[in-house]
Amino acid sequence: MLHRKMYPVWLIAPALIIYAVLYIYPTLSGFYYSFTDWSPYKETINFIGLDQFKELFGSKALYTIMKHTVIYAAIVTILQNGVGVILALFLNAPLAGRNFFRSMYFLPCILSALVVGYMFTTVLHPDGIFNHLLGAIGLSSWERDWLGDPKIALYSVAFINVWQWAGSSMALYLAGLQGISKDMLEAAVIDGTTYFQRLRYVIIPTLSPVVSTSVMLSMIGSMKAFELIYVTTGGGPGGATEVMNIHIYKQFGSGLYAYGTAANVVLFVSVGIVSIALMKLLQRGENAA
Amino acid sequence: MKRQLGPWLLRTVIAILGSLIIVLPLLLVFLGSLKTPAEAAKLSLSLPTEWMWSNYKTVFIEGRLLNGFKNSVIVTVGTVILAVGAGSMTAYFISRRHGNWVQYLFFVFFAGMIAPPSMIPTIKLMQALHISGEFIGLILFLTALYLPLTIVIMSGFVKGLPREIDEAATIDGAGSFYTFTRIIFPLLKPSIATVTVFVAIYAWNDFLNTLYIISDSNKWTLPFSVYNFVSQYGTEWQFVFADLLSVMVPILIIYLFLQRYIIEGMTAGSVKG
Repeated sequence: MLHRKMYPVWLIAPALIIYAVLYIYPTLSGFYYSFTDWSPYKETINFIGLDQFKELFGSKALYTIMKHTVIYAAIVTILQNGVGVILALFLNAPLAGRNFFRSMYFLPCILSALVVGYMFTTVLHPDGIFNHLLGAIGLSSWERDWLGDPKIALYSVAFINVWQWAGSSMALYLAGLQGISKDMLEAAVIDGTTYFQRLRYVIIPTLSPVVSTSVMLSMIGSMKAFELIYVTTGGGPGGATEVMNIHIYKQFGSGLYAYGTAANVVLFVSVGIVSIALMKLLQRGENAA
Repeated sequence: MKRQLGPWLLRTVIAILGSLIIVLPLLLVFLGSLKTPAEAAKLSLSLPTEWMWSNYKTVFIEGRLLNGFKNSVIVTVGTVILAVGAGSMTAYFISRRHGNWVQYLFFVFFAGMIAPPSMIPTIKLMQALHISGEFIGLILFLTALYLPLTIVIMSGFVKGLPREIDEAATIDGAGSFYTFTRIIFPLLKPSIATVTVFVAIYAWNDFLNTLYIISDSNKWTLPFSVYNFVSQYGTEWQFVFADLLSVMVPILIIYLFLQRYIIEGMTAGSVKG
């Protein structure tokens, strides 16, 4: 048949081989290993059923780590999108050097998490410029060891994450704002609407698919967070910023391969559930807007 | 609409103040990198009393920046070539070929954008294939990681090209290989640019996967020079700052010239996600 000859199967071969070998196979074999006692110190890998999961869910540690992951993901998602929308609306209004500011606010997104992380360990250092700044504006009682205090370290790292990625949400929302028809906005102005009415009835409904995309992206991304946390606190102090991916890496380091793989299965399932739930929720939101 | 000067000016001022949040940490790094050890340890925004350009010389040699740069280029170029090559072929196939299984295939790739990869089994597999700790292992793994997004973006683009192009080429006697490489691939240029931008930036900045896969410090990429440097010279802030800035410079220079394309590329990369 001509159709098959025009689009032969070899076209997908390279991508499918790379993807199947290095992504699908490890994921599926990971499901298998999570039911074993796999470790680098043992000769054989034995099937032991649900023992790894029993140990995972039996320890308090997993719940603490899950709690950190959820708090971190929620803060990052809300703030990153909130700041992103505000920046986008702001830079969509007339002002001088609009493109310059867009590039400026986007700039942190292109930096390596390592660079951003180490930069902020100095900014948020007890003697760093953030505390100096607080002192200078008369808020010296607010000065903290932002990354060293177990009560606030998780929030501090979430803040660094927002600093780095708010520009990416902004760029997404700006792209969405270009899709709003000028005629509609002008008609709304002629009808004597206020800015907030236009925001509610014209801008937000047009923007809602972008909101869904952006919220999904930041939620999935921040549930898988690793780099910034690893660089700034390494999961500390005292495990206060230990999220799933940090936990998994630590198991890898201490040779608890099966246990770490089981933890990855838990992360896999959580990300799956959250993505589906969020997609449903956001679809309903889009229809309502 | 009439442009009102008052709000226009106010907004511009707010935008300038806002960009200080971005600029000040970078300025701290820049100024700190040129200070003496005692001054740099204060971590403040003051100007250096003595401009220590020699810090950069130390960092350049001790941090083995040239080696890191070379490794980063190998990994980034390799990943981009593989992702664009394999991804464009698959995108072309998926958006042209009929059949339910083609849709399932697309979904299988799509799922890769959401599901976290399982690193520990990946390392085991790589050891069995003797590619663990090698550039080729890292390149192939990063390609697997970014293929989904590449395919989603490019297949959206292929759908915009009329089928009649393929048909005309076939009628004129072109084989499928010739049609793809000589006719379709050149038409994909805009999406190739988009994909190149985000794959290159992600590969260049990658940390987590490199940390798992590459253990030999001779093969560490540029960002790892910071990691290495901090563990060695953790308290000598002037060197840490100089190293941070040296690692940032290549990507900042590229951003300076290609900012519009980079923002568009990275945004398209996430819009489709």
